[in-house]
Amino acid sequence: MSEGNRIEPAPESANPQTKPSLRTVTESTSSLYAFGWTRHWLLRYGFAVLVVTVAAILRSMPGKAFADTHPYITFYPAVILAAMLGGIGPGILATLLSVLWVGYTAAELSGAAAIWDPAEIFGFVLFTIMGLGINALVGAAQGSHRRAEEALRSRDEAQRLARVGNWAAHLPTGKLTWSAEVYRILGLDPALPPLTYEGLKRLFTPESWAEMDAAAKSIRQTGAPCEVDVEIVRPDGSKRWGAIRAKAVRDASGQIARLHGTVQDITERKRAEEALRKASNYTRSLIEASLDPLVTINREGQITDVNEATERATGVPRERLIGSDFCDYFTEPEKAREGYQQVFAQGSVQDYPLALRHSSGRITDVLYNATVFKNEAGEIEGVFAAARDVTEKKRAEEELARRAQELARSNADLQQFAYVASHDLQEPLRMVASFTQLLAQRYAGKLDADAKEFIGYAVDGAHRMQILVNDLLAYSRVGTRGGEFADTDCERVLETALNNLRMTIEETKAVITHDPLPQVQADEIQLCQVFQNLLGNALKFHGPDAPRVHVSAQDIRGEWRFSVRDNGIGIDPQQAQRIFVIFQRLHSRAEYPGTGLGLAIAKKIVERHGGRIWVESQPGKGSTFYFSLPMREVTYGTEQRRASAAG
Amino acid sequence: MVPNNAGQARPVDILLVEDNPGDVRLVRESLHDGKVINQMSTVTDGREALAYLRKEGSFARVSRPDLILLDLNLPRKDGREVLAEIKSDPDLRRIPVVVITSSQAEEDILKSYNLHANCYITKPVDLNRFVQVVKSIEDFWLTIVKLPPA
Repeated sequence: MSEGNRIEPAPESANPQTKPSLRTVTESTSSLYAFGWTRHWLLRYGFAVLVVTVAAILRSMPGKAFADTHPYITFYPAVILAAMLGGIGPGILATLLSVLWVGYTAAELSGAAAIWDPAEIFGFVLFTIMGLGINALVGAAQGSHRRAEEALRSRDEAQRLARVGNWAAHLPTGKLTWSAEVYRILGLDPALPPLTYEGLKRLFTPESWAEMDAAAKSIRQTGAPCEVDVEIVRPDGSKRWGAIRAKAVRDASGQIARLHGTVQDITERKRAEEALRKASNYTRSLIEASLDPLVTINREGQITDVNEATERATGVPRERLIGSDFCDYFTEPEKAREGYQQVFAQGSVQDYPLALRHSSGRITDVLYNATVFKNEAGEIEGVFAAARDVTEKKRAEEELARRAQELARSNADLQQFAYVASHDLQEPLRMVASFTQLLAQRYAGKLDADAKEFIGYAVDGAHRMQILVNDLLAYSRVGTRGGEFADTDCERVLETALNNLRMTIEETKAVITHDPLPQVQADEIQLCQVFQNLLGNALKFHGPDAPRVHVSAQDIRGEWRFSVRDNGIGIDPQQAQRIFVIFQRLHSRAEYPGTGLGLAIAKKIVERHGGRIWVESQPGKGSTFYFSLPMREVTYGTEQRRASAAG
Repeated sequence: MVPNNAGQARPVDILLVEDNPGDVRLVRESLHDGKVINQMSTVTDGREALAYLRKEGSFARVSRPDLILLDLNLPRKDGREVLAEIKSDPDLRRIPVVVITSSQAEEDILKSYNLHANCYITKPVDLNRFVQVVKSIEDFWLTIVKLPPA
């Protein structure tokens, strides 16, 4: 439909309801038909009768204004008016009434025969033909107008559905014309005339107006079609987005005379785009926030996207990274190539080790985790690869390995020390002890009391040192010579310990009792040492009464808590921690012999087993030594023993 | 020598392999009044010990010992090597070897027995015990045990 059709220069003379200005054809009833087809048929036929009556009256008026010779002259306008304003039906009615009226008056004036006068007949035929012709013309006009109207209606409907309106601007006058949809998009009342170009300004955001204004200036100069998306601020304050397209129309002289184009309501699309942009912003910010260098690679190995971490790791800006060869940034490009090819072939790789080279030469050890990504059709588009900086991890691992090595060396040193202690230190000790003793024995009669006393100190010292060396050896061996942990029956272990202490038990007349003891995961020999040291301790530090010692074990929150309770001299709680420290003694050697290593060894063994050791005591009220062992697994034997203990 | 009615019908020869003269002296002192020993010879390093046993060089005329007291830490050739060589030599391996050393190290004990030492004894620090131990060796190996024929 051509642009001109959308604006109807209304036939003002024929339609009193037509607004006296250019306006859009939006009201379907605004046409020639002043009266509706159905509601006003009486009015329309009445109108026909009325105009014919008026014509007849005018005809009958005295005077020579209407000559007798042209009886129909006054009825033409009546028929035309009736046909144009009332339609075909009233027009034909008016024609008939006019013919009847003329015939009747002619017969009355000149007698019945006068009707058959050839002139009368000619007038009658001519008038009838003219009347019907007028009606036919009016009918045709009405039909074409109705079709035009229907076309307009359907176009408006289509525009409403498509949310596309059209517009035109007549440049010389600056007059704008809009379709109904343009009004709707702008939120304006279609009954109002279009705004002037300047008046439009308030309907757009300043940015959009500036953009549109620039586009308008440009098209007026160049004539090149243009398109701008604008944000509309409707009079009610709501905002819409419109896409304005414009095209220039030149006149015969080649001057740009008119602009026309469309306005499309693209609010929904804009909102969807905005939502998508926000969503993609969110995704993007996640990608950028990653501390791991992330890249996407196409089949050719070109980088198609990167994040900031990649820029930092390579020292190369994004613009240069994108499109460059992924493999260029590694110390081993071929390995990198193999890596991404493997991803394309297998779908993913995990922890693929590579070393990134920073533009400064710095190397970053990374592990790549990569996977292919697919397009909507399910075709592999590229590889998404994330690098994890493992420099620190690697350094930590190396440090760990170094420390393990150091530890192994220090353990070996300790082993060596232990050997030296057990052998090389013993020999000179033995020499001192043995030969001073030999001296004392061989020369017994020749030595005075002082000499014997001195020899006594020398021998005693050598003996003590030997025990010390042996204990130190034992202490150092807790960690280095420990065996594997295995299911260990604590009752059997206790029996062994008691057996080892049999002499002391007999000497002290000690009574040692115990509750059922569990099965634990332990180094049996070492556990026996713990029992032996704790029991030995209890037997050694007994009070005036014969020692009574009780051993038990409790399951407390997933660990076994063993206790060795005695009725001995007890320990000042303030000293309770000291007794587990190597070489710490609370008593003089004269009172209680020993090196002070027994509890330190017990502590070291318990700690090696993942447990703790401590003592609760009051001086004079006995002591209870506790040690805990974690339950690595609840063994069947334990359950069984508990059941039997309960029974 | 008077044959012991419980054990040997003949006096025995002992080879002491010991580099520490103090220990050599202590062993000698301990065995001083022994009745069953014909002769106690001493060598002070591992090579000499093997040369002695194989009657090499200056040892061509010595008799094969009936019992060997072997220290572990020896110069030139270690006691463990000496033990290994003795026990892998078909001629020598039947001679009982008593390892007598200062070492209390488990690995030494284990290794000695793995090399077929006949027993392992740690030298006591106390003189009297030392004497007692040596006498026990004498008592056990020279009077109780039936040694293979020379």
